[in-house]
Amino acid sequence: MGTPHTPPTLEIQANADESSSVQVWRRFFIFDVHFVSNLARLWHNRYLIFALTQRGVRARYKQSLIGIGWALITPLAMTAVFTYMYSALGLEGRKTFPCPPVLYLLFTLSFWNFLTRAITNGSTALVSNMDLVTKVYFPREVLPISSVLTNVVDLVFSFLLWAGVAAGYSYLRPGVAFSYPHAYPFLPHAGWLWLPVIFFFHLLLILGIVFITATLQVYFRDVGHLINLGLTLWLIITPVLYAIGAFSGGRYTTLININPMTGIIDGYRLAIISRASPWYTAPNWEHHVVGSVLFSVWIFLVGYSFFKHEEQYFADVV
Amino acid sequence: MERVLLEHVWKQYDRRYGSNRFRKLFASLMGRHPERNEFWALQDISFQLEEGESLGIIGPNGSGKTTLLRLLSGISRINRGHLLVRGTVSALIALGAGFHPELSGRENIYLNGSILGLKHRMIRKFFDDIVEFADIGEYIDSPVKRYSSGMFVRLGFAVAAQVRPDILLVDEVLAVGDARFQARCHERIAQLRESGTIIILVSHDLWAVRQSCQQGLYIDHGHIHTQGDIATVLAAYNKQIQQEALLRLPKVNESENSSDYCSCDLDFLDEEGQPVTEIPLGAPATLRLYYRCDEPIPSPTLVVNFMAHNGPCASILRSRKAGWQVEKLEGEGHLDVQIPNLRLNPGQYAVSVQIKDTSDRITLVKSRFRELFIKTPHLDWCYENCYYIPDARWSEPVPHHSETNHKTHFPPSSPGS
Repeated sequence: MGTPHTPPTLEIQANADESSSVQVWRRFFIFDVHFVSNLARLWHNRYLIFALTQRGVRARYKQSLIGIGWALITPLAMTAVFTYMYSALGLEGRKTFPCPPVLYLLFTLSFWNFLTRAITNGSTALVSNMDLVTKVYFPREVLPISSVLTNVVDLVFSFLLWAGVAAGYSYLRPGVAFSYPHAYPFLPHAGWLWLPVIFFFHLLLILGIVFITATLQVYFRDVGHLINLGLTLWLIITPVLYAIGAFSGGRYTTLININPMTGIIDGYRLAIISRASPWYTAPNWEHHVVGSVLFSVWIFLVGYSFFKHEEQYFADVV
Repeated sequence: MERVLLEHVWKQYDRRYGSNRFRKLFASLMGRHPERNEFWALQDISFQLEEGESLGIIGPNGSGKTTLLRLLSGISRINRGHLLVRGTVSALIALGAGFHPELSGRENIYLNGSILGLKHRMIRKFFDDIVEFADIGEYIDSPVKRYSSGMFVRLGFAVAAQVRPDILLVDEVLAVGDARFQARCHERIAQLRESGTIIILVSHDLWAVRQSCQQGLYIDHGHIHTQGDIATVLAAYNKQIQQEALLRLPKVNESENSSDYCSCDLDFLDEEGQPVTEIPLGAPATLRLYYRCDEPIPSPTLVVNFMAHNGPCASILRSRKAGWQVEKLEGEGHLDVQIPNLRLNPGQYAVSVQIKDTSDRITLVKSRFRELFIKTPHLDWCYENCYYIPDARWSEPVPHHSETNHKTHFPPSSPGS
């Protein structure tokens, strides 16, 4: 028996007045009472999320020669450019990077690229699937979620690339690799178990943002341009192209420390490169990992309830 | 227990901003008046359906039929009223929704099936049925962008046909595809209806609506015009279309009619010679053609057109074909055309007469359309898509015995069947 998405009973009692903007704003602080039932329905639609993610992955590399190779070429090229730039400018200091810059950049860029792609694709998920939104009924959050998950494949490949390069580097050039403060051969270790944990919060952060931007994109196409601008600015205050200890004190450090993405990137760095617990706090750094985790959960809850509230209007507005 | 219940449902749209209330807020802050663009796409719609019932929704373009289906499927929300749908809903609004052009037919079957709510396991089970129903053969592994539009829709329907909802919404999608495919679609809908699924069908194909539905809903400009039994609703719809056709057509012909030197008109007369607008099926009728020609028309041709309510010409009478010929038509007068047995399909017709020149090509003058209603004793009886009812006599059945030497018409029956 087929089980279409509509819940067994759909009952709508419309009020004569639209919900006022005051009520909409309240949703930023009071979480949706339907949160659990929404998640249950989302779980019921996991096949759909899987199918749409699969579609995204397959369609992305169809009719291209290199295919999934592009997932490796992009971070490699960016790493090469920035490594060259740093060595040319003489910024290649042991003080700023916890490991050779090549390995650090390849590592952080793979996570950062995942974020930018996921947010860019996820934000347009509703608008670019207009035919589905206006013609078929299913929980709409399936679209941004699967758009975000589509990019996980690229992340996995670029992370495996990093693992390969790092292992090769510490084998071929142990002198350089072991001259850094946290000097270990870059082979899989127990700290990698933190990876799915941090990734979970990384994903919540992205989804929370995407729920909001995808909704706004339905109403205003300007959001797409704003997102590109915002991502560029966000990159500057995230320790991706530099290490967390590169700036000491000052307003800029404050910006870096309140940035929720700092904790995520540094969490990955602590767990994988420095073999420390991601909850570890260096003496002069802020306690950003826990802050990032809390922020990610909050933005997800707010984004999701905002999205679910606006969902009913999508088909008529898009 | 009613499965579908609508009570005083209202739906508002905005011509300019859709329902974008943020844009509207901006517009009103800018001093514009966004509420001017608002209109009610559906107004005060109420109906209910029980298990196993089927509803045909008809109405002109833009009357709100598709909007209603979107509300029922949960895609769009209502502004006022109460809407209750018990059971799973599946909407055949756009076949092949979510098909990705780059992916193969096989991949798209899984994708589209998931979108329609089928589990992976179900799709795998029905995969061969789907491919067979869609009749796409070796194209199954080609990207769907290489498909013809017919194949695309067939594949979409084949997947959708595997969904077994409690309530099925069908919108115009069956209009594409060849006759064979359409027949299969209707067969599938009939199957679902027999198994207790509620069917809600939107179509301009009145024949299909008549076939598939017991109840009807005629919507016009967002209002319910008529609702109830499908025959009543179709009759009301046909009448409305007919009236609109009659209102529209004379205006065009008024100027031709009052051409300076010539005009013509017609009337139907019954057996007593009284002008009538209704004639029983098969009764003799007299068609009286009036003419006034200030200048003589040499050897003219007269043509009488019977237009069916939905547009096409149902029948035509040409004087030249009947061997009627006069040297010229001059002054004012009339002539009668006897029709011993008028056997048009019962219903309404718009009849006009034209005077053409000798060659039968150039129309010199055309009369107004006159309304003609072909009656039967039981008024609701009519066929949707035919124009002529032959006067047929049916014999008693004649048995074929082996000794009477009748050649058999049928192949020998196989032992299995």
